[in-house]
Amino acid sequence: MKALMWKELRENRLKIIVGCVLLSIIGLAVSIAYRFLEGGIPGMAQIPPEYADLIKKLMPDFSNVNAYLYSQWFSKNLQQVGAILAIVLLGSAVAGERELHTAIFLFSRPVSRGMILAAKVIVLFGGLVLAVLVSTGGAVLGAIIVGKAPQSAFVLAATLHSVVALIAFASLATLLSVLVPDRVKAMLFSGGVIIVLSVAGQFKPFHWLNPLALFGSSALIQHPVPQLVPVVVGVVLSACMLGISYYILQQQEF
Amino acid sequence: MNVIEMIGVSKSYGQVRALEDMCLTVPTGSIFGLMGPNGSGKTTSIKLMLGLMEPTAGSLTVFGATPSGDGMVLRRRIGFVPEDFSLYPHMTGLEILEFNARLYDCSVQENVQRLQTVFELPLARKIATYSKGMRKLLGLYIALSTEPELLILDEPTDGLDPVVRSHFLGVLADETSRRNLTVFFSSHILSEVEKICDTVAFMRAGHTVLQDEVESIKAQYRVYTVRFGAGHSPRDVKNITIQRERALDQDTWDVEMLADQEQARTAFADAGGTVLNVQSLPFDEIFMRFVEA
Repeated sequence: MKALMWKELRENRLKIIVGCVLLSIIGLAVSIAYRFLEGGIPGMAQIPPEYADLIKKLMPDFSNVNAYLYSQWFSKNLQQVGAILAIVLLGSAVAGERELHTAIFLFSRPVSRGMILAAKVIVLFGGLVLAVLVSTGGAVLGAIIVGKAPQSAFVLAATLHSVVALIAFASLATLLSVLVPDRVKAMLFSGGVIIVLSVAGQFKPFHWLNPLALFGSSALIQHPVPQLVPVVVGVVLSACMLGISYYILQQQEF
Repeated sequence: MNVIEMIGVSKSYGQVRALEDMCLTVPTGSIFGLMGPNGSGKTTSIKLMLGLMEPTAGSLTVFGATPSGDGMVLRRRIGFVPEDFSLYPHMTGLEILEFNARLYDCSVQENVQRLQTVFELPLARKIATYSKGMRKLLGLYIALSTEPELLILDEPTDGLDPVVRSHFLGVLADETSRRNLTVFFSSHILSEVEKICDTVAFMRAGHTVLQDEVESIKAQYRVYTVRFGAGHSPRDVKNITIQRERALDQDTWDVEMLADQEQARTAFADAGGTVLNVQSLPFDEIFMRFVEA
């Protein structure tokens, strides 16, 4: 198992490092930008009052740093870039082995398919969680730099929701990586499913389909306690998708 | 005792039948050559032996166990070099050897050093910089480094230059004599199979058409020029399978068969024929007779 994990880390270390650095820069930049947005959008005074009122209504509430981080970091930049990182890391996990013809070598070694999948999931999910933690640390650091430290309970709860949501996306990418023997197609299908669910979730009858729900609701800002339903749904969804991935991988022929 | 036994094994991919009622036995300690044209089912047979696929029908055992059920335990005793040998390009030769050894819970030092005295592969270089031949050699290093009891090689010398190919075959022969190693060798390069294998099986369209020792095949396959009496023809020959027959004139035929010469002469005499001449054929010609029939 250790050897398999070493191989995965060796193979994906660059992706993980780039993901951590990129997300951290974005997190830092988003927080530092709060300094300029706290007092409203620069130049609002020049906008006619009827439009300015409309813009204020549409704009998130930036008067509170927690609200700002929730709307601009946890449910926007972290979700979008994190989802891309999850798809890039996991979408190629098994599909890459098949596409590059290394699957025959790997699956003819004296290790079970379950161990191979487990090593991939542990290392790549670990890399993803690391990227979330490091970049959220960057976002918090940026907020501290501009003198607006967020509430720690809020950061912890929102980070937990983010991790659960991104692991659900990563599990979806793992499933498609097992199903589709082509890395690019597996990634595109994973992204496609998330986009379709997001769009469908914009319509009221299908609101429950919106993957954003896994990040928890904006109620986290006022009540920074992990919300049981989204967390449990995320964990159960991930477990189901990983279970199906394992079952399909066991049945596959190489 | 046999290391591999396939009895009536079939394998289908949807409507396509890759193997059909295939039978094969590989004796312990032998160098066994599986020969057949492209698409005859050689690679499918190997994948079944490794548990990478499951047979649709029939019985397949390796070391007495079923590969699909006991695959993990079995694969620990097997070294395998695939035909299309792709490895992780970002790793060096040494890294892949160490990675493989860790999967087998063994050390690579001694075996690799022995192989390095013959091939001098640049193990510190990344695999991405290796040529096709170097990758094939690295495959042999990987397969032999774990001291397997059974070595399965799928078209192993494809892409090797003649000098390296000769060394490659030499190493296989040395390893077999050094310890009780069984080698299962799939190839369509007849000369090397003839040179190194003691037993061969010919495959055509998903099943074995012949399995025997190389020397026995070469000794027994003959072209008999036979004159038959009035009203007689090769069709009257009983108990021996005729591989090919060709009429030279009204009563004289060239008849090819794999049989003991005395038995063949008796069979011809019983069928009203007189043997005029007997010729042997080169091994590659014999192979062609079976796979083209």
